[in-house]
Amino acid sequence: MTEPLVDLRGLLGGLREHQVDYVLFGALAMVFYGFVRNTEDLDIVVAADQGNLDRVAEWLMSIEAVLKLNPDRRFGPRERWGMHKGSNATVLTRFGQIDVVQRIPGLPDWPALVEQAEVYELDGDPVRVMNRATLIELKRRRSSAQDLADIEAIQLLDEI
Amino acid sequence: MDAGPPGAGGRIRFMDEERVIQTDAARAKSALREDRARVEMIAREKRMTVEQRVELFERLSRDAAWIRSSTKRIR
Repeated sequence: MTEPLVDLRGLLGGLREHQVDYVLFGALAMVFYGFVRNTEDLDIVVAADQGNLDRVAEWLMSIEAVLKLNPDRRFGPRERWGMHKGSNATVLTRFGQIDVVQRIPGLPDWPALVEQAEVYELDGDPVRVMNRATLIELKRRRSSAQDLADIEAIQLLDEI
Repeated sequence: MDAGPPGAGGRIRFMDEERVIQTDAARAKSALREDRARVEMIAREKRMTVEQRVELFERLSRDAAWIRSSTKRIR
């Protein structure tokens, strides 16, 4: 059977097993809000404390993630060091592409992000999802055609 | 393209870009709300459980991967 572009349950299971502190955003956040559209990546904001970044790195190494910009190269100690210095990371895995974000223009600080997040239950486990106002703001700043369409869909969800 | 002198010219161009974005957004807003079939589809998805929506997403994702891997244009 063909593997999906994004194995959402596989990715969320890995985050849970490695006890990664994260907030889901991007198109997959919209699936939780109530709007389903396809996407090729899982977007997560992660808590930037040292322990959590180590857990993120261990998770990515355990699933043999490779760098999107250099697929011949595995995510490893050097990339872990980069994350500790504040870098974001985009990697390819057998579960799909993962964008790990620590900093992005318009993103609230971690405590506010967690405080405002929507929390859903999937297969009995909690999933923390970025709140709609923040996701709309991030999409408004980028304003690609897809972002604008997503904003309209999110706003429509609140009206129907 | 001639960017013009710094200051007023740059500001005008920035405002034009903002207007383009706003116009596109207004057009998208209008288009989506007027597309009854899409609005009904979104309303249906909204009524699903999270598990059902995730299953729908996984099906879409699997179908997209299958189409990408197994189709080739022959004409």
